[in-house]
Parts: sequence; C-alpha cells; structure tokens
Amino acid sequence: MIFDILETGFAGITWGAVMMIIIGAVLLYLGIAKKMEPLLLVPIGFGVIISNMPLAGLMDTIVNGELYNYYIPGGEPVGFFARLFSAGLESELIPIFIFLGLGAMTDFGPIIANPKTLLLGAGAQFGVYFAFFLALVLGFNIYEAACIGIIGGADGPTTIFLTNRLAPTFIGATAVAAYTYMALVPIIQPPIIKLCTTKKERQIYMKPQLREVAKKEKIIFPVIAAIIIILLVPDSAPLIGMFMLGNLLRESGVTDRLADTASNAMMNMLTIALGLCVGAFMSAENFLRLDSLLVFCIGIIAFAAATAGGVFLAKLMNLFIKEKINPMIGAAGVSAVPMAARVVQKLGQEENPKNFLLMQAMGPNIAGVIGTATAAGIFLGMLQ
Amino acid sequence: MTGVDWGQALQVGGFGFLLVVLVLASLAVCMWLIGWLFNKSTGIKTLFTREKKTSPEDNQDNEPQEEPEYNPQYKIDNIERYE
Repeated sequence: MIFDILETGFAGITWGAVMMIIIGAVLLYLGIAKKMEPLLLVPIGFGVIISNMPLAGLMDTIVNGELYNYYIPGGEPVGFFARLFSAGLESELIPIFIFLGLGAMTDFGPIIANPKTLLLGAGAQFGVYFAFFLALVLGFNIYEAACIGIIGGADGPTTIFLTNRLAPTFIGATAVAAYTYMALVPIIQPPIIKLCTTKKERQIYMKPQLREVAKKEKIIFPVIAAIIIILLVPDSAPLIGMFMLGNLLRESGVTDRLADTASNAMMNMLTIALGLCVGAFMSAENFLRLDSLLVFCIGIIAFAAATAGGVFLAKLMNLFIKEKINPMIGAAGVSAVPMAARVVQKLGQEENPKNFLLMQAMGPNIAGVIGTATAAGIFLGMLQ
Repeated sequence: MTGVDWGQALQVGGFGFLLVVLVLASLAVCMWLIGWLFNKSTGIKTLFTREKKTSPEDNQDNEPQEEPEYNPQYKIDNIERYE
C-alpha cells in the first residue's frame, strides 16, 4: 500500500502539539484580526503551527547521536528551521542586524533637543531590575532572572540577544512575552499611568515644538553615544554599535542607499526570519512548562513596573526643574517605539486638548531603547 | 530553578541599575554640552552675518518673514514609518 495512515502526521500527533497549534492560531488571530504587532505575530504564529506538525522534522536536532524533534541549544541542527535558528539566532546575527535597521529608522532629534529626557529612559529600566529580583524570589536562577527582567524593557531583539546568551531554553517564552506585551502597550499602560498620576499632573502643558537640531549634531550624536556607552559598558557593543551605525547611515546624508536598505529590505527579511525562528522554537517540549507561564506573569509585572518607574522619575524631576514636565512622558521610557509615545500623546490630548506630547515623549521612548540595550550589556558583563 | 546567591544578585541588580542611570546621565550631559556649543557657535555666526549686512542692498532681504505655523499632525503622520 503506497499510502499508509502510519506514514502521515496523524500517527505522531500529541496533545502538546495540538496545544501549540492552538497557541499558534491565537497568535495569528491577534496579529491578523486584532492587528497587534502583525509583522511579528504572523510569522511567529505560523512558525509555531508548522514546526509543531508531527513528522515534519523542521526543528530536528541531534544531541549525542540521538535525534530529537525539537530544538536543543548546542545540538547539531538537522531540520530546516533548526538550521535557520542556529545560524540566525544562536549566532546572534538576526537581533544584532535588527538593531542596525532600528538605528536607520530612528530620529534622535527629540533627545538631542531635550537631553534630560534620556534620564526618563533610565527610570523605566527600574522595571527590568524589579522583575529581575522578583524572578529570583520565585526561584529562577540568576541567568534566567536577568532574561525575564529584560522583558520589562519591551525590546524584542534585546530580549532575544540576552536570553540566547544566558538562558537559551527560555528564548521562546521571553521573546513571545516581550512581543506580546509590546503589542499590548495601549491596553497595559493607560491604567498604570492614571494610577501613578493625578489629573492635575496629567494636564501639565508642555510646548510641542522642540528646538531646531542642527544636522551636524545629528551626525555627531551616534558617534559620541557609541563611544561613551561602549566605554562604560563594553558588552553592549554589538547592540549599541549597530544601532548607532544604522543611525549614522541615516544622518550622514552620504549613505542613503545603505540606510534605505537597512531600514526597509534588510529589516523586512530579518523580521520574517526572526518571527519564524522564535515561532519554530516554541515546541511543546520547550514551551508548555510551568516556568514559561511564570515568565509571562513576571513579564507583565516587569512592564508595569517599568511604566511606573518612568512616571515616578518624571515626578521626581519636577521637584527640581523650573519648567515642569508632564509625568506621563516618563511612561514612554519603555522602548516600545513609538507605541508608548503614542499612548502618552493620546492620554495627554484626553486630559488637556492643547497638549501635543508626542515629540516630547519620543525622547524617553528612544532613550528606553538605549537604556535596555545598555542594561542587557551590563547583565552580560556581570554574568557571563 | 536553583538557590540564589543574594550577594551576587544585589550586586548585579543594584550596581547594574546605577550603571544604566550613569550611562544615560553621561550621555545627557554630553549632548547638552554639544547642543550648547552648537548654539553658541551658531549665535556667533549670526552675529557676524548681521554685522556684515550694513549696506542698504543687504538690508533688502531683512523684511520680516511670517513664521511657519507648527503643525503637530505632520509629525504624528511622519512617525507612522516606525511600525
């Protein structure tokens, strides 16, 4: 008999695989129907579904001569996705090059015009360290706790970069948690902001127009920033270096072709590969574990603490500065660019229709990207 | 999940957070300094340009110009590309 039921995937189906296929379908639903981070959730969701198909062998890995149907970090990749994962994520190429693209897409104008907003990015990193200690209290080891904490920074590539180095088996859980919470910024942040501020504080008016930033300042910024940050935190060099190079390509005015490729074609290709890799890693064996669920729970606490940390730092700054800042812009210190800044803009308009906080909030928002990458570098330097 | 060395954890968490603040604060101070220097040099350049324009022909283009109105919608639309 040419066709035998035992040769089809039906023979190898397990409850775990079915569960993961359902999770993949939910991610697809969130991405397509609810438009939550569709560029990431669609490839992740589809990756989850096809890599959990029995007998497909997409993530097959050999460890000590034995073949496993899911990815095991350090093993010999056999399946197509396993090879993609090994070459792209385990080698750290994808997250690092994504930072190049992010740099090419970022306008540092708001933080150059108003450098004190860089501090608000630091305030939001409070969430990273709060979640780090919380994870330790809940019984995770120090490497896992660092990877869980970094979810609070709301930066997908940084989370993947750090987890891959410190606790590779958690990469699926931390990456999906980071991207899911980034997508849920408009739902998670407003109640926390309202809880941490009074109506009067939310109504504080800020001038929408920042000072004009000279072209030369924009060119000097990535160079100076790379030198200062890498001197202070050498382990942040891959992320910060590529981020600042991407920005220099954009601002130098002589490498438009490279900046265009980095921010469009390259970024799109990497996003597809990243999504598929993260999704494919989410096998039942790697994902359906109690600690993965705990990662999700601590991740949301990290995110909430990061939002609150930024708001409280802004309130603290208001005690010392003459021209008061609206504390809501502190919430944009998480690095979900530009969703967090948009949330602040929307809330600001609701409270005081004269307020246009978007450009003011972009400063802490971009500072959050730099802060999270720096925090990841510090974790690496201290723990590796 | 294993036992925790709280001494190391406090070092990583406490010192790490302070280091992030230090990095961003140093960057803020540096950028403020650069901005200040740029503004100062632009100010000096403007001063020289004004001093040069003393003849009546030079002053012809000194008619007050209408300041462009700030349009926040433009910047909001502009920022869509991050997604």
